[in-house]
Amino acid sequence: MMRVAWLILRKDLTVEVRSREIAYTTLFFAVSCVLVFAFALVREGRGPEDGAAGILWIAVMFAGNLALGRTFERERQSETLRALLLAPASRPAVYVGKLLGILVLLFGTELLLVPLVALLFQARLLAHPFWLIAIMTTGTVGFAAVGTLFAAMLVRARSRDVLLPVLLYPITVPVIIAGVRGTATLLQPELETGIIRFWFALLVTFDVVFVTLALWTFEAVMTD
Amino acid sequence: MKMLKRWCAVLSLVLACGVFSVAAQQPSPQPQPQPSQQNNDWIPINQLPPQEQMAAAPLLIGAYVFVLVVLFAYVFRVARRLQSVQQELDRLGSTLKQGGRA
Amino acid sequence: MPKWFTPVAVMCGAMLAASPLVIASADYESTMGLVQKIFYYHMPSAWMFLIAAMVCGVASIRFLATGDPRHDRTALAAGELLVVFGLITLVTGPLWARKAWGTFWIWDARTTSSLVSWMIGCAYLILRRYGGPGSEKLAAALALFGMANVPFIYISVNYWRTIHPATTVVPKLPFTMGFPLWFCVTTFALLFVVLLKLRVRVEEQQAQVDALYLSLDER
Repeated sequence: MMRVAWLILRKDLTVEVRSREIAYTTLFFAVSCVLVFAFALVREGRGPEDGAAGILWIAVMFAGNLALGRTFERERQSETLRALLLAPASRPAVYVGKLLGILVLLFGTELLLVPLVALLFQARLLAHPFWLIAIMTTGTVGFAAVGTLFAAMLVRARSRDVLLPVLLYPITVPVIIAGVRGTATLLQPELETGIIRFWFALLVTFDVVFVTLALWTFEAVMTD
Repeated sequence: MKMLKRWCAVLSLVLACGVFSVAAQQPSPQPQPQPSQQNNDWIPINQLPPQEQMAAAPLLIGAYVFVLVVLFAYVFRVARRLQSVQQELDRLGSTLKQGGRA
Repeated sequence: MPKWFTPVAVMCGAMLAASPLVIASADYESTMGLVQKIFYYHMPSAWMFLIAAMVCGVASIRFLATGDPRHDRTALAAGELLVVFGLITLVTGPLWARKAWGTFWIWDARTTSSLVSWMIGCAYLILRRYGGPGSEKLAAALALFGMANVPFIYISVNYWRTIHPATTVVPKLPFTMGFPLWFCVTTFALLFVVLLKLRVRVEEQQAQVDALYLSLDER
C-alpha cells in the first residue's frame, strides 16, 4: 500500500513542479492573509496579545482550504480521480497518497508563514522549535486528514467550493483550539510543559482517530 | 389538514393559558437562608433590592413562546410536505392506472 | 402510518399542553426564582438534542455499511430534529443564563461543545440540501465524523473555566421539581419519536413517488 501511496505522491509532485500553480497561489494567498491580519490588528507596531498563534493557524487553515479545493479540482478536470479509483490500487492507498501531497504543500506554506508571523506580530514563535514543530505537524496532519477526505468526497457534488469549508471547519474545531492554545503556550515567557504536552497528546489522538476513520470511510464514500 | 389546523389552534390556546398562569404566579415566601458572615458578596435573588433585579417574566415567556413557535413551525412544515407528497402519490397512482387501462 | 402513531401523537400533544400547568405547580428554586422554570423545557430539549445526534450517527454508520435507504431516511430525520432541538436548547439556555448568570453566553465546555455540534448538524443539512445527487453518502460520512468528534470537542473546550450546573443536579432534585422535569422529559421524548416517524414517512412517500416517476419514464 505504501508503494501505491508513494507513486501517487510522486505523480502529484511531478505535476506540481511542472506548473507550480497550486504552490504559488497557496503561498501567495497565505502571505496576503497574514498581511490583512497585520493591517487589521497591528497598532503602533504591536499586535494583539497572543494574537500571533491564532493568526498563524487561521492563515494555515484558509490556505489549506484553498489548496484542498484546487488539488481536487485539478483531478476532477482531468478525470484522473476516476482513473485512480478504477486502477487496481487499494482505496486507502489513494487516500494516503493524496494526503501526503497536501501535507507537503501545507508544510511548505508553514515554513514560510511561521517566520512571517513571528516578524509581523513580534511573537517569539521560534523560541521552542521542537515543540513548535510537534504542534504544527500534528495539527496540520489532523486538518489535512479530514480535509482530504471531504475534498475527495465533494469532487462530484454541487456547490463543492463553498461546501468544503462549511463541512471542514466545524469538524476541525478541536484542531484549531489545540493548535492555537498549544502555540500560544509556546509564546509565554515560561514554558509550561504540562500544558503543551496535553495539547500535543490531544492532537496526536485526534490524528490517529481521524486518519483511521478516513481510511475506513474512503472506500464507502468514493463508490457510487 | 383541517383537523390538524383545528388541533393546533386548540393546543396553542391551552398552552397560552398555561404560560400566562405560570407567569402570573406570585413567588411564595421562602424560608430565608441566613447569609453567612464570610460570604457577603453573594446575595440570594429574593434579598436583592428590587431595582437591581431583572424582570424574569419576559425571559420566561420569551423562552416558552420560542419553544412552541419552533415546534409548531416544524410540525406544520413536515405535515404540509407530507400532504403534498401524498397528493402527488395519489395523482401518479391514478395516472398509472389510466395508462394501464389505455 | 403505524397503528401506534395517532394515540402516541395525541398523548404527546396533551402532555405538551398540560406541561405549563405541571411546571407551574413546581416549587420555586431558591436562588433563581421564576426564571429557573425555563429549565423544564431547556434540559429535556438538550437531552433530545443529544439523542438525535446519536440516532443520526448510528443510522449513518449503518447506511455506510449496508447502503439500505431506510437508514439514510432515519439519519436525515434525526439530523433535522438535531437542528430543531439544538436551536431550542441554544436559545432557552441563554435566556435563562441572562438572569441566572448575568450574561447571555459564556464560552464554557458544555455550551461551546453544543454550539459546535449544532453547527455540524446544520452543515449536515446544508450538504444534503445543496450537495446534489450522491450527497447521502457524503452526509453520512460527515455525521460519522461529527459523532466521533464529540469527545474531542468537549475535551478541547473543557480547558476553559466552566460555570454550567453540574450533572449531579438532576438526581438530587426534590419531588416537586423532579416530577415536572420527568414529565417534560417524557413529553419531549414522545415528541421526538412522533416527529421522527412523521419525517421518515415523508421521505418514504417521496421515495415511492420517485420510483413511480421512474417506472412512468420507462414506458
